[in-house]
Amino acid sequence: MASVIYRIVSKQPSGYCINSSLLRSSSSLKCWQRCVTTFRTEISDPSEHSFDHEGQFYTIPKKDVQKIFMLNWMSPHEKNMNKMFQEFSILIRRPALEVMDILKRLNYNYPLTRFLLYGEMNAGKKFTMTHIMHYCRSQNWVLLTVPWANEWNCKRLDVSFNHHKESLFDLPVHSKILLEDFLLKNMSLIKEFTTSTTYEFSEHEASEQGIPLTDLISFGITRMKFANDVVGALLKELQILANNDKIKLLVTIRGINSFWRKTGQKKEKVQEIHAQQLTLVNQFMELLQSDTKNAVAMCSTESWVNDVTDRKSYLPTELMGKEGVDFLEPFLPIEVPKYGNAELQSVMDYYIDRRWIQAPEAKTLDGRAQIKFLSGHNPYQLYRVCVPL
Amino acid sequence: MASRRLVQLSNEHWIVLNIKRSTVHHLQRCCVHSRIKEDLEDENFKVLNILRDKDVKRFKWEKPPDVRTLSRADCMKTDMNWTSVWPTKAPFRWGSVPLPIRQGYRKKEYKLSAGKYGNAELVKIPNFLHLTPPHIKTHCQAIKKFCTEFPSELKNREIRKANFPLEVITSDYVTCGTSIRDPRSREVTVNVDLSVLKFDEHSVTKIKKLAGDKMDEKAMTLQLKSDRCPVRKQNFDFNVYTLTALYYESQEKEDWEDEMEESDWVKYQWDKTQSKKKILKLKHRIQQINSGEKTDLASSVSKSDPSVSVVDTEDDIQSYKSAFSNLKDEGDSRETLNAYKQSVLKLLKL
Repeated sequence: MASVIYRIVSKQPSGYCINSSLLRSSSSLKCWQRCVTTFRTEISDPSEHSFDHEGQFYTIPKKDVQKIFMLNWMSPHEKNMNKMFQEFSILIRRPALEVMDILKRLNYNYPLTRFLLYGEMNAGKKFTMTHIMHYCRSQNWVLLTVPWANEWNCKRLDVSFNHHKESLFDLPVHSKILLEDFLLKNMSLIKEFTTSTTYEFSEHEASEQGIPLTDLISFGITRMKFANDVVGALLKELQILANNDKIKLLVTIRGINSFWRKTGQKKEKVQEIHAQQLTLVNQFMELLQSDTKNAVAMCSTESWVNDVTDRKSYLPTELMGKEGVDFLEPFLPIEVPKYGNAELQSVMDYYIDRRWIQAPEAKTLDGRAQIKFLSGHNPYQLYRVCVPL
Repeated sequence: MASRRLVQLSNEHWIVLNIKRSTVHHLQRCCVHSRIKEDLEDENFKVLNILRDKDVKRFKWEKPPDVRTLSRADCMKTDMNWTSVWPTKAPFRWGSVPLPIRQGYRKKEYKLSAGKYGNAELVKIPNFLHLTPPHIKTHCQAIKKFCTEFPSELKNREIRKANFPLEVITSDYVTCGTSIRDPRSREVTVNVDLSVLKFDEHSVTKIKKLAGDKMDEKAMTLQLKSDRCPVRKQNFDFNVYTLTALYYESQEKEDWEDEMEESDWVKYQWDKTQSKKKILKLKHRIQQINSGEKTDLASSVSKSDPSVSVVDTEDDIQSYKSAFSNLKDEGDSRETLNAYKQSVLKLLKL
């Protein structure tokens, strides 16, 4: 009899256990308990977050996640995490609050303000950016995102010569991906706007003045040959719109230090292409250096861009070099540090809540101290350490 | 197994006889024996131990060491005069050194390396047995009569430094050889304290570049060494000549020194860079916006030169300048970046 029961239990799918526990926790009583616990806030609007909420988790609503972050922003690993935890929660941390505090007080008539996030590997720069992007979306900003700038250097899809300038190289496929991403994120916001000038892409093809901006973008997506030129046109249009107080623009570039490195792209006889020779990089650098009103640029330097052998440095000058700093200044350096003690405890609380930590030994004070020591306060390492628990 | 046989001697005393019958293992027998012993002794039995206990050692008479075969080290007293044993530099002699020294390859992990007796390895390496503290004490005592007393006014280090900025170091060598000359005695080292000399901002940076690693930049001292000439005096003269040449060369300013590029700068000069133009332009624009002028982007740049309307001695620009040059000079760190952030925030009026 006992063996029969055992067999039935063991035949259940492994996901069932977690599922059922989550279902139970979402009953009304548990919901109320969740509000009471210290590591969560029920405020999902990031504009209402203040320094009181530091070290607490908040959940991004599912429609926002689908719209903004799902397509290109999140890596498969992070998507998998969301699937596991059945929600998209992020920890409210000091750097994000700091940036949002500055954004609230900033005079938007001033020329473009540049933020530079820096920090050690896996310290949470990306999720800080996610938080800020969510804030800007809640304020109806237009988001122009480069999820991983190093992709232009490393991912060899297609390279072509630029028609207008001989020394530059186009990346049509990357530009197409960028345009698609932009269109998906900002479809509702840029519906009404039209182009201000005519753009000639070749002798036969041109976009006339006054056509909707979405048409220009979809032209770039369908005619991939001109996708890179369309990106340039789009950036110019966005600058004009922002200068006329019609939109507010957030430019997000992850891994900006890849702008000053050699790429792996090749075209015919040109075996080595520097990132400065790419049209996309030039267009974005022009945008960053322009004094556009109503625009904020948020960049991050990433050690991942470097070779495997030297990824220890994480400070801006070491990663970007002197040219990078000279180009970007005046910028606002924002450090994203590793977890503090309070943050660490609240993350562990969250993992216990989500059943990521199940072993009873790990939940004790002693176990927590061990996990803390093993992780070295590093967010990703903390996640990794808790895998077998 | 051992059998026991109880023999009654008198009224109260019993004796147990242990008799070996077969080839029994010694240990086993001992165990049995001791067990019987314990059992019986409680009951006032005495055990006759025919096979003696093995662990009780018999007294063995030891031979006293033969004085004729002992080495000198063995016979030494603890309070003997070491300087008389080892007066000068000499290769190692195992017989005269009363120390338990070992040297050499260990053939097995658990084995020790060879001792000092007849050990050629110990002879190969240099030793300092002729330079022990009592040696040096006696040497000093012997030389003392040739020395003069150090002037008491100069015992203070700072007074000495101010009055005698030049320090000349030479060494003499005494050997009992055929020649009294030693080639090493020609070397001369001259230490100069540069704080006595007059330097301005330019000449300091220039002498740093010229002197290279001969100069200690923090303490501002110069160390000149020379052994290129055959005689000591020539070497000294050469050092002094080098010092003179370095000093006067650093005072001069050539025409090409103004053409230095940013990568050659010892210190970051913010006033000469593009950064200054950029910041002044930004500041000009911010001022325009704050005063409520509504000008187009293109016209504002062309209309007025920003460097005219914006004074670069303003507080926020000065703080930006210092923070940015600090960032460039000292490199990135949490402190410099934070200071830089504060200055930018100040510039943006936040």
